[in-house]
Amino acid sequence: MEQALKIYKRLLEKGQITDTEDKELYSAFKDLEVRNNLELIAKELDFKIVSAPHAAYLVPNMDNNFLGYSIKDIREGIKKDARLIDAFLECYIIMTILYMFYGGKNKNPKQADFLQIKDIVSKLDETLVKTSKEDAEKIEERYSINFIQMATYWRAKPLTEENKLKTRMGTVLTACKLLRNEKLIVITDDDTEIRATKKLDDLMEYYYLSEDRIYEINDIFLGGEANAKD
Amino acid sequence: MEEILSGFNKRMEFFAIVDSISKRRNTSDKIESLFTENEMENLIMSVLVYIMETTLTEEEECTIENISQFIKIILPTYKIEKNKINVKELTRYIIKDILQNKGQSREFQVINYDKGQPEKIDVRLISDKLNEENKVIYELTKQGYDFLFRTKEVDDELGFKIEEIKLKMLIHKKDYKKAVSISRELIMKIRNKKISISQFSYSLRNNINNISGEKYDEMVNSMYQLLEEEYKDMKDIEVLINESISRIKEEEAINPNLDDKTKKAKNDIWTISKNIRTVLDMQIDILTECKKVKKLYMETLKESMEYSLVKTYNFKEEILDKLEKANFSNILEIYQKLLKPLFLPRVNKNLNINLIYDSQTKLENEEQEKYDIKQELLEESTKLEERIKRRNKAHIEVMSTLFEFASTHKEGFLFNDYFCHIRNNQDISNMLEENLIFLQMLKLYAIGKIDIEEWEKENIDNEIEANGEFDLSYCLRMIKKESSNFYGIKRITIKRNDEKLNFEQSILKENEQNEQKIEMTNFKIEVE
Repeated sequence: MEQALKIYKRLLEKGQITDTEDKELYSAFKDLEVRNNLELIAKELDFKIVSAPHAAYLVPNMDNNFLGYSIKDIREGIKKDARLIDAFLECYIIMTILYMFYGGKNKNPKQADFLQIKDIVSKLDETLVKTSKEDAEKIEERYSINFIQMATYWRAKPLTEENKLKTRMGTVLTACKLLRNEKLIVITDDDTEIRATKKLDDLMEYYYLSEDRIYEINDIFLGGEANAKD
Repeated sequence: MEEILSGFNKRMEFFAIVDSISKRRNTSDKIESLFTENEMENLIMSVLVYIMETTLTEEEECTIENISQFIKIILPTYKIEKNKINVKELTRYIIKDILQNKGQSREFQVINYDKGQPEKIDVRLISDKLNEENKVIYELTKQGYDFLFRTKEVDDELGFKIEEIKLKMLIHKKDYKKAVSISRELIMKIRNKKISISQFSYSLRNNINNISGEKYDEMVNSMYQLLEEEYKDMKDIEVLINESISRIKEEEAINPNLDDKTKKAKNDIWTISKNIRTVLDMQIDILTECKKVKKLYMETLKESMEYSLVKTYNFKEEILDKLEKANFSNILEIYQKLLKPLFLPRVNKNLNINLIYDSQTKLENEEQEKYDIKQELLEESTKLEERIKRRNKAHIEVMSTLFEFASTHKEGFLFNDYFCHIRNNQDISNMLEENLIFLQMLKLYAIGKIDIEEWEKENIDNEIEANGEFDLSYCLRMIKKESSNFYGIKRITIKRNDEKLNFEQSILKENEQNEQKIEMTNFKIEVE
């Protein structure tokens, strides 16, 4: 149990253990008894351990309010005067980035080694500008009113401006910085491109994209709808 | 027949590489149009040669800045106007968009006669990695190196052996001067092998899915076998050069005053000996690395198979498409839950010791806070919507009154005439807010001409609202609803005028009355 607790402590601190940075802990993690004890802790504290080659990660369960990312964190993460429309846009940007990285249909879902910020902006433009070009009936059928508002908000962002944060590129970069702070990507080449870390690759390939999560994901959207009706 | 096509896929790999350069994707008309025919192909190949030379002959790292500097040096050879090109942008285009295909793999279908079926091969001439300062550095891949080598030098595997034989012969013939350069070549070649194996190990650790069994076999097993043979040959050469050293030493013992020719030979022999040692050490390093990689591959493969997902869901359908139907009222929960599994645990905030004594309050606070944030965000969002509506309305008012005024002043008029007219006849406070009317006139001046006939041809009939910014097409659509013939106006042209106007208005901001002065051109408006 002592080893399991040590691993738990490290997972709390860093979110992960690896065979290179935490050699001893990782080798203890491979021990069946330690592993069982760790699973016990995980069950009681409402998180799961995701194993990947050469690493393991702590992933809070969906309803875990003790360890997980909170609504307050979202607000702090975006900007001081954040509005719902900003949160919506940031969420959509992040999910588009994940899709651009891991939307492959082969056995290996990862389809890009790096993404240029300008290409992320173009990808977002594909959808968000389209909402102004299709006919009204089709748009209302496909998108929610708030999504259309969010798209309008995106289109109103200038392509270039002195205050770069207000531009489309700046908005994408802000979302990227959040992902960087969570150790999911690195931003390189003078803030012009991003690369997924091994952590993001592992979490996506060995957990996040699992078909077993489909009910959980449905619940996220259905749960949201139920809350909206309340 | 089939025999002559054995290994045909290998021949086609060469073709696929050339295709990746000549039929490059992600092309930019803006950049390509600056070059004449085939210049860009020359430039891309030059960049590849530079990357090869930098990574093989120097110990320095090949960064985008180095490549950019290189392009800057060779660019005058191309018939291109210097002031039209942004070298940094050109470098990024060649590296990221063309050679790295925007980070996505580029596949080419070839027929494998040995297997009796088509197969897809990856084309990837350069690879990159992050150094300790998180700076991206570039190297040729094995494929890139093999390709480049075949364009001028000889086959890699054969090449090393030939160079070894040459070196042996030259030492026998005591042609040490030439032998020095051959020994340097050997260092370059072995260094390339070292780079290949380290690239392989890097991608193995990061994503085993990128590595096929064949690639592993080629990289580790074949390389190991070849290296063992080459190592034995190098050891023989070392014996030879040691014999030469002994002979020189004997000669020196008999006659301490060596002539210039012998002195030069002595220096060359020492250099060759040092280079041979470097090659041998590197060969040992690579052989050891091969063994490590073999073990790493097996472990990673086993773990990857154990943990990998049996099936994945369709990310676009399950997440992106559903997000398109989400609402402000539930977006925070969706955001939080979608990202919770990926984000770091929030342990520091949640394990605050004070919270142990205050657990109930915390829960209440959090719930209250959640409610407050949502409420506040909703209110702000509503404010934004109201502002968009107000601005759209004002933009239409400006355009509509301008058309109406123009219909009674077909001889043309000045902006001030129009402005005084509307100020005296209606409430224009909405148009004055955020200086909207003045900014709109500047935008109209930038557009220059409003041609109704042309607009009618291009106008797509839709009901989409403007986003609060001035949208001429949107305003015209709205005016058309009021007056289908646009008050009989066909064209309005806004021209510059030397006369300046000064406007003063008082604005109520944060309960304080402020005076604002605006200076603008008294635009001349022509009507048809």
